[in-house]
Amino acid sequence: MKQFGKNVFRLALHSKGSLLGAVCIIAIGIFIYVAMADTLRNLSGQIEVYYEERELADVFASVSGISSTELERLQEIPGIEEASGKMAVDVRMLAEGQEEIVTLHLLSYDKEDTLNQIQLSDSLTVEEELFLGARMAGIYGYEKGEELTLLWKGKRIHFSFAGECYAPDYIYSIPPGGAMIPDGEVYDIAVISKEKMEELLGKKDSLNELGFRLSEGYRYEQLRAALTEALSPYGLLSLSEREKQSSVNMVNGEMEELIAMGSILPILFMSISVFMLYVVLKKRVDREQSLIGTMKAFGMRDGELMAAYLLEGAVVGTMGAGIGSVLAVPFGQLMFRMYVDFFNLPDTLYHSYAASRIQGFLLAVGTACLAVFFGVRGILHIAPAEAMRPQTPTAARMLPLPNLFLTYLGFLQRMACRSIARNPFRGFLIVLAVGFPFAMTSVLLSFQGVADQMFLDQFTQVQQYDFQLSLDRYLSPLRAAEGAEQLEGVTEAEAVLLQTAKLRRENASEFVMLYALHPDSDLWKVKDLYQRYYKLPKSGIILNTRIAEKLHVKEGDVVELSCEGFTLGEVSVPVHAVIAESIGNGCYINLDSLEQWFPAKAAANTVLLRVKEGQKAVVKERLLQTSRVTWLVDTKKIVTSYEDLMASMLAMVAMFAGLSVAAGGILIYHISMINIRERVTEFGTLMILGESEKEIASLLLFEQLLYFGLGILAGLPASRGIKYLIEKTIISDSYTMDLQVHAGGYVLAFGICLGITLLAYLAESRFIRSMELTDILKERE
Amino acid sequence: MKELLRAEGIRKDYRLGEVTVHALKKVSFTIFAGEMVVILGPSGSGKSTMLNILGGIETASEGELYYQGKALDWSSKKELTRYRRQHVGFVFQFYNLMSGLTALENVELAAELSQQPLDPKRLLQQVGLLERAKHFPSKLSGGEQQRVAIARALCKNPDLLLCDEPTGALDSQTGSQVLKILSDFNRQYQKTVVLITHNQNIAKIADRVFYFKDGNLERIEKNQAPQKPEEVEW
Repeated sequence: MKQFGKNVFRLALHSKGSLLGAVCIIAIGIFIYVAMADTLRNLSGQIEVYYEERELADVFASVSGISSTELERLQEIPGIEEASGKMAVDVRMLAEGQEEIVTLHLLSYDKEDTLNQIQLSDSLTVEEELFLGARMAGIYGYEKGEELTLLWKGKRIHFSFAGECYAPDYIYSIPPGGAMIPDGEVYDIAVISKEKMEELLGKKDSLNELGFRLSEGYRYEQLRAALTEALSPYGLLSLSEREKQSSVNMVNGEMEELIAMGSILPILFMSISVFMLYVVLKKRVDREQSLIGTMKAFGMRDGELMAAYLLEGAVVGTMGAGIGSVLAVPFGQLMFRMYVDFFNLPDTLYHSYAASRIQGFLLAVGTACLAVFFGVRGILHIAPAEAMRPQTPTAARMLPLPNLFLTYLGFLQRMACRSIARNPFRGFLIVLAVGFPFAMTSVLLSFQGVADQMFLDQFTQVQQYDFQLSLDRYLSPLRAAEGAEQLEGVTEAEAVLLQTAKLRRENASEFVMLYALHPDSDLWKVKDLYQRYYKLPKSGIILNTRIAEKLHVKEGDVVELSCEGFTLGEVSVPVHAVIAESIGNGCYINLDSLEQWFPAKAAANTVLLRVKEGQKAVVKERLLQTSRVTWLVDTKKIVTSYEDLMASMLAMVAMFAGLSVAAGGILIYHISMINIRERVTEFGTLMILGESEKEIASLLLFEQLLYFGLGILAGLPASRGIKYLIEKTIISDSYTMDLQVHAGGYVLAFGICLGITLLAYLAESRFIRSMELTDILKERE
Repeated sequence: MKELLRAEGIRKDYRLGEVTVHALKKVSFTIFAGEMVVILGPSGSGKSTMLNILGGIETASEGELYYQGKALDWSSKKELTRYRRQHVGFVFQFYNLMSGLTALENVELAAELSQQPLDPKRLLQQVGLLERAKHFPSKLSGGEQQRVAIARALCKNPDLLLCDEPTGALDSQTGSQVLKILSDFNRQYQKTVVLITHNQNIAKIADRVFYFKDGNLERIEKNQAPQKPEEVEW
């Protein structure tokens, strides 16, 4: 069998272009798979170890304040194994030449903490020492011992910078005010001693960020009611299981996206290679059936024959896996660095995992062998005697073509139409070869639009203000707005209330951020994913679909609302509308209607400002001097940081689009060339009958353009399919992706595919010109 | 008789790696209009190369080929294409039908290439395949496919019909039918037919027989009384 195998490999050299094409496409798929798998293994492995080492809690709660003794008592609740807490508060940090309001999420440090243990780069020895989150420390480049000033209730408190800090529940720390990505320039965690924190807040042992470890066999759902009841007297603000904790949730979301991209893209690329290998091997077996028949006549078994071809598939797969695995190293490192940039993780290291490569190898060899198997299974049906006869013409079917249509076409066009209609499989292959890259590139090239819609539109069409100020106290909305309008350069000001609240419907409850907005707000519009604006009702609440789904409510239902410090127990509020939003988990209520639900008068804790063009810097400078402002959101800065984030994401998507164009190019070119080689006798005969090369070329162009048109038509639903696949695979609690494939994406993908098709046509024409008629006749004989 | 083709000193060399093969060595002859010529010779004698050169699908390394007194320009692909299109019909040993076209469409294909084509349906009727006009090649037997191929070649109404082993893949009965069609075309339309064969008996239907050996035209024999195809013993 060795000699037959040798022969198969020698014959494979005749299709080396196509086989190398398949190797390239497999390499692309494996390259993405291994890079993503390595990145995921590195990130999830290191994060899991960190969670374990630092005792990340199973349940998180935030309250107004609870003492250590009272918290310890909660351990008596069956199912609670351990409870631990910290004091936490958002504080402004002042620094020379500061251009932004810098806020620290200050956490108290206690060596005795059993859960959510903080890691410090050095030991905390002096009370005035402050450890800063690694991202912010890195951006500002503070030296050890350098003075840092915090502003708390109008007082300046001085600390000395002692080093960096990390916390397992703040791996992903995002600033308040609508941002979704960490920004170390304006927000990060910081750690001081518990004693110093007590002194700063003027409260002794008042823990407000709590963590609970559950006993083995207990789940969050079983303890939710008991914990809610036990913590309510302490001003329960939020309660969540580990997976819903802000940082864990964001980290998991990033991992899920990585898994999704790492699965979809390799599958799509591997599908192309399967398709290509299938076509190459199927055509090979068709061509080599005399040889196969001869070997069968000599007594070779089907399995032995197929094994020789399968070995070829294994070689192709191995080569693809090898190239892909090597290329994956730099790309994996790049991806890892991109993620680590957003995660506060100590001592990150990138490893290349053998497991990813073994999986990649198995995936490549498995799919290549599968494709080869389907391609060569025709061997089973070749009878030795049949194979020894000259090849019979391929069977064609009569497909009716309207005479009227044919009448308007020239002779060659009619030939082409008949050829297309009567060789549907051949046409199907080329149509797929065009449709796939068209669908892939049109979707991938539309990501820019999605990014704009998801993030940038949010700050141009929804949150239309320039600045959002968080105040250190509650004020009357009218007073707050009037006060803000006094500022020079401010053209419009609105006061709003942003408050954590709990919504409940029967047994389902969620802690949400309640946005109490002015009913005719100019600065914060309520808008859904489909560009529809909503007016806030006089009585009722507008809910985001993600919240509504968790509560199992729909428009017209009633939810129970409770808001620590505002409501006495629960109040019933009708659901006015349920809307799909790109980002966030909005629950909107009319600020003027608050008095209906809350016993206290309407109050605001946030002011939105619109500022005259050219006056932003001046206004910002003045706001920086105001001690009542604890936090300032500059929408321009958020948009810039999104653009930065999107730039790297879009570069990656553009690379994937480029790779799919390359894969599409390889596919279209090779399928076209396989097609033309299969028709050498047909074209040779036509030329012997008197057709010129130019006429054959024009026939090919006509066919190629018809297939191209059909490919584009097939690619349109395929792009919807890929869009659906991406939308459904990338599911996040934080945003809803409405991946609209825009006209620009279609036009660009159309142009790219047309370019590739025309290049394939030029290669076909060159092939026709190089055909030796006598060789064709000899080949036949 | 009027001269149709004149070959003068045709030489054809092939390079096979380091070796040069002399397929034809200065061959000269004349073929007259309306003549039936059979080329006989063993494998490698150069007969197929000669036929290819006569049909304008291969060029000579040296020498001239005159069609109706005019030398063919070997360097012009365009002229060779026009020559094949307007004057030459081919019949191959393995038919070379378009598998995506029905029997009738295969013949019509040739009609569309010609300025004065014959009626495709009538030709199919003449070769006895009118009732199978709408069948695809895959549904036809070898003999039927060859008859379609002949009808296709004739449909162009060529002055010169070149047939490369047209009966080589056929049984004796079908082979005889094919020869009869070729012979009828030659006699009825006074068209020139050049036919390659290994079969000595087939040579009996020819007006003249060209014997090729080792790239040389060894001799030309004239049949005083050509046999009818049905009289040929296989």
